[in-house]
Amino acid sequence: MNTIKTLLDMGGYGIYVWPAYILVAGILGLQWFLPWKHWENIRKTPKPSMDCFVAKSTPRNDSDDE
Amino acid sequence: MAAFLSGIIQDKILHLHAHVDNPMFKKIFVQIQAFLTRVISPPYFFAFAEKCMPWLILGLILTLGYGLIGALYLAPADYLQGEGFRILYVHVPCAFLSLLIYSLMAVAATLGLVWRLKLAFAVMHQSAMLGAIFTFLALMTGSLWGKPMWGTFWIWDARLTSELILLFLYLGVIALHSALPNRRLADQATAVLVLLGFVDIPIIHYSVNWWNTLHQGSTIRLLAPSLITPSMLYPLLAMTAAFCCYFAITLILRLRCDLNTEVKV
Repeated sequence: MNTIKTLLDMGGYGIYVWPAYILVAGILGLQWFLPWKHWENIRKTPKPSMDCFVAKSTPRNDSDDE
Repeated sequence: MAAFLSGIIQDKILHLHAHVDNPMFKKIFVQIQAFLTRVISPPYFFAFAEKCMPWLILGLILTLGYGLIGALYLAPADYLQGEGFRILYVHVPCAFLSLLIYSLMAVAATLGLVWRLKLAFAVMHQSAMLGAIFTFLALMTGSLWGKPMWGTFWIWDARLTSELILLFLYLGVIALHSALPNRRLADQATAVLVLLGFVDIPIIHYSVNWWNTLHQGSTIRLLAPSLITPSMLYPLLAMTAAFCCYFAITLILRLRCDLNTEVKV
């Protein structure tokens, strides 16, 4: 308990040291989480089907060539 | 304004390419372009990034683990600043990365403008937000260090002011890229702004030598013995390496999202 108190107090500088570490950890954690979450959403989204392009194509009529 | 800027940029690019008439220069130019197009192409890059990712994550865990233990426990208290100096273990890596990322953006901007590499523009654009965040964190952690040491959160010191200008440059790059509707024009205009703003990087680095600043001078030197004891230095280097790994991982994630989204659109 005393060790934790000493660590948190930091010789009177704890009020400056810990907010600095928490700020950096919080913002960098969020900054990593957002693109990771975005990438996970992209991976989970099904790819659009190519059937629409197939349906639009016209079959070749060989009789026209002659 | 956008049309005016576009005209200037297009003129400069065409002017540059028009000068590639000399056969020897043209051959070198084309060879470099072929090499860069192959190496810095999205498929090659993402295949390489996929292999690097586990090593980057492992490097981040190891260096961050050692760095945090060293910063908060192993490193002895400073004889003058007491325990308050431990803020530097997050402040220095953030400040270092704020300069490194802008330098990387300047290189990417040059590659993008000269060789028209899509990935270079994507690296430049995606690094801007990360650079802005590291600059903001460097300023905030510096303020938290400055209050007990200098007696104030902020002072218009040369180092602090030039670092604040760097933050505005990052925000300007992000705002300009978002403001222009055409992606190609936005990339080129942003690249020009990045190259113009690069003048701030040496000013930040040498501000402590050129002016009589309240901010302390360089403690870690490449070409001379560092002014910091090894028990304090190694955790600092480990934290800097951890932040570099973090930047690389996040940049790859952001690039994957950016280029993947673009392909789908």
